[in-house]
Amino acid sequence: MSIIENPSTTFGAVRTVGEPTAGMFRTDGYVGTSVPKKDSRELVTGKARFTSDIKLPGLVWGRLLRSQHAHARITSIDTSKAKALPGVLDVVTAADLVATGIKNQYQWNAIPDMHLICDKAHFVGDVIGAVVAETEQLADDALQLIEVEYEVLPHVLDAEEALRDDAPVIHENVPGVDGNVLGRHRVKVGDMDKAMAEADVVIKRRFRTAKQQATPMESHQAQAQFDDDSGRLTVWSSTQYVHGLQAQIAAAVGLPISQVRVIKPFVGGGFGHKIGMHSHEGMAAIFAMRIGRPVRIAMSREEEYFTASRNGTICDVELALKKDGTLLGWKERIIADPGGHSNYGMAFLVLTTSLRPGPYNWQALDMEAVAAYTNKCPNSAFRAFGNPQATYVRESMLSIAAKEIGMDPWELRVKNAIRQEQLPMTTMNGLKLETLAIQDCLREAADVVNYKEIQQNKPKWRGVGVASTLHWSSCRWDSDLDADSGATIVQMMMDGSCKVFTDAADSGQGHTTIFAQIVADELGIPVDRVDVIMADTDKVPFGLGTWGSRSAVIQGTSTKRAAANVRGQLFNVAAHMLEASVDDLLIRDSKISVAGSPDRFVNVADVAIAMHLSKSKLPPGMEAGNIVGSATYDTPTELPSDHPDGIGHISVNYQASTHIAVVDVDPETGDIDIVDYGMSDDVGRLLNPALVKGQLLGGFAHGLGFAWGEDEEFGEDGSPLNFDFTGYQIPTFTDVPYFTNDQMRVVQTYDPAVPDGQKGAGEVGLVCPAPAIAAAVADAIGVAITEMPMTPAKILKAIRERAAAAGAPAA
Amino acid sequence: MNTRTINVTVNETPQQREVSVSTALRDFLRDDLDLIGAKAACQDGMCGNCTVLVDQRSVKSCLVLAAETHGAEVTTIEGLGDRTALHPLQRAFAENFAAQCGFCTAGMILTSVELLERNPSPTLQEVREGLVGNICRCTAYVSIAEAVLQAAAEMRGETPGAADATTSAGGER
Ligand code: FES
Ligand code: FES
Repeated sequence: MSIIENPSTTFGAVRTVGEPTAGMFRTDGYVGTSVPKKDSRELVTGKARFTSDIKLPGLVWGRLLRSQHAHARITSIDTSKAKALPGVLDVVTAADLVATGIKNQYQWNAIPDMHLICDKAHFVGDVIGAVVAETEQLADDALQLIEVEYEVLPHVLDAEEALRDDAPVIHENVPGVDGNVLGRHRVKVGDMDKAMAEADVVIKRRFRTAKQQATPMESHQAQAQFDDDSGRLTVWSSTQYVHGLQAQIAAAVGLPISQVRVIKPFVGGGFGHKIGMHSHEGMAAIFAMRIGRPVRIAMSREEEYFTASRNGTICDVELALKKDGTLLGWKERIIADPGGHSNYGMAFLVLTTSLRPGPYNWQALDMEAVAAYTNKCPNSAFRAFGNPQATYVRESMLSIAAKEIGMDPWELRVKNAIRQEQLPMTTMNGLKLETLAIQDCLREAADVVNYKEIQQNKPKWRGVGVASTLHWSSCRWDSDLDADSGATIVQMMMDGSCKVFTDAADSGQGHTTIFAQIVADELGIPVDRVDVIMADTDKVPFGLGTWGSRSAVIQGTSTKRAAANVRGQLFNVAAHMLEASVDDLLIRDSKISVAGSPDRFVNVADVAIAMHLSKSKLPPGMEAGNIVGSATYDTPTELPSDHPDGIGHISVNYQASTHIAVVDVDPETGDIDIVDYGMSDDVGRLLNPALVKGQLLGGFAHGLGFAWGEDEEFGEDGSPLNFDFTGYQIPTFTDVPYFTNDQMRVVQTYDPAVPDGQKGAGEVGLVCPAPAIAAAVADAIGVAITEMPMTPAKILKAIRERAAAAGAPAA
Repeated sequence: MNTRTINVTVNETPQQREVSVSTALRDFLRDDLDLIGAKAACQDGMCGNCTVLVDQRSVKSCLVLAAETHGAEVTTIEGLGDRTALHPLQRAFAENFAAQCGFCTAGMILTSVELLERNPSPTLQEVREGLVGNICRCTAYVSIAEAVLQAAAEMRGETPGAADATTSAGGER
């Protein structure tokens, strides 16, 4: 396979802003080139095994019993008929778990409202029992035989209604929960009174954002096996964070963490929904221990929609600005809808408020965020967690404001976006920016679509929309998780090849490849002599796994550190062999040489074998043994929840992005046609341009779904209405515009916060499509739609209402 | 359990197996033959991740009963290419970074095999329409289209080149 040497063959243009610090990294290595994805061959031949592709002898099937009601007390649950069905091996309820000493409660969850099996139903689909049987069909049959009597309670589906005094209380007697309020977060900085007083215009709007579902192609799956003799429990799971799952399962079943092994096989997409323990993982482990057989529990597509989704929000905003476009104050009340369980509901408040100011200068910020339980599917982390909502609301407001003051919406952004000469800076809400090429992103995206020209020559029903954002590269987010770490062990074999062990959990992004590139460069060896082992708790060191655009940055840095440690060990021995100073050594092309004297060298492999097997070749006093470098990396970030103003530097560095959409709206049908689209991103240094491109594009498609129609819908009784690919449609091949390289421009920065200068790239592509397309639609039809998703029906309704108000026919 | 004995050739190997009349081809391949390349991402033919070839035609194996394949030839991703030489589509997918998580990949490749069989010189738009029944959540489909066009060119004996990039950003709802 060929390596794409020049990243500009991947993107329309790669411009660079700023210089790397001298000696920051080598530029003649693999990093920065599109090394082919290491697992490609396994994937294209179908050999790659995902969780349910792993065949365990004697495997049996578990299934979860789910509530039929949105809110109900369970008055009785009779499992006797299910247990009597031949082939059924075990049936349990919440009471059964507690009776056998199982800790039916999630550990390390900010709010103690999460149970493997609930004794009350908090939403349709809440887990209230579990069965295991010889076959999947028998397990399904057993579920039908469990007799549940419910005392149906009044339910509430709207987060704003859930805050009313007379709303039914969803979680009673949970410490820290007041009524339906699971938490609040307040950000207040600057002088809002002054901002309001100085404003020429104050615009108020209300927005609603949709409950999108990540919809990885592989649903949640887990298998567990318990060995009575060794006392070891092994769990295979489609997960993003093996050590978190390991600790949660150990706590649930009462084993020491050391006796529980969690393995992440190939994962068919995670997107945030696969962080943390879910009931199927805990129950597979519990059943495996109870019955002594390996157990699989796999979510059906329908069950995915009961397992996780994005936080919905209702946002009331006041934006204060001057007539010349200067942004002054942002005031907002956010009601978040985390659904029936807290999960990451608190973290959401902190993170979404941290990102709400975006890449702009402000004079005052005042945000009050509250999360209120509803009787719906619980929230989860989800690609760009908190930012799609934040950016949609902010950018929609900016576009509305531009129209109101008669200013071009792109100019308004350019006027207020952080400028190169302001850097480094600390933003009003505490983000410490070293690099942020937002001005360049704005220019490049405009250039892609010929912005000025297209604005001047728009036919009827064509609109142009601009959106920009700032996004994190990993984040520190709640007081129960005051860590932002990852870890790597690099082991050099005696022939100079390397094994790399890390907690990162690749689910398609290509981290395996990136880490191999980093190690190969650090140790001067070919990239195909580096093998990367990920996310198996028996093999890899503790770290927080993969989520939040973190792994290229966090484990990328721990990998760099671990490899540098190995290089130091090699240099120590090579200096002795070459009778040179360590400071004069270079490592390239599988050789360690003395700078300036290329003839004085020793092969990396010769040093490696000596360190393993030949004490006499080593410096005096040194013992033969292994070559192992181990490193962790935890970012120098802060918890906004610890700050009196609710602010803080949440991420090691920050990405910038601008998208510009040009759309045609069909006034007869409300359909949207994207006629042109430009995106430009600052994702730091490109470690592997082709992999970055894949992430940016994949994010775009996810964002397109968020804009156009993805939303979990519920009937009045709380039953989900769309829980398969017919009802819940995700973008198909012809829905997603075909992007040419020219439409994607990268502005490369070298962020000094990490040694390779990279930022994350896995999420940011999702953030801007919805607001850019929404603004383009608003431009086309003359009115902004402020409730997501923008379905054709909503667009049509907006066109008709506007026409009716103007007393004219719609088209 | 109502069963039937079937004779089916899978990846050129004749199989005689007893199957339940209600077992889907997908589950027969995965569970009985350990051919796990066909993936399950839905139950109702809506994702294409389970696609295999039955008598050279791409089918969604969750919608076909194993019993219906009696006498047929089935090709799964494991039967494409061999240990020494990948099929041009497999190679093109790998070279173009068209497999991110890879869950949809086998279905995409096998659907493309039939597509190129019927139309060796597809346009970009024909590729996009031909693969509309296969859902991918990772790639935004761009790299997949590029891979199919590259493989098509190679299979026609032309030098592999970059995808024709003249049509752009023209998605339709
Ligand atoms: S699994 Fe067959 S089409 Fe989805
Ligand atoms: S590569 Fe992940 S679903 Fe297509």
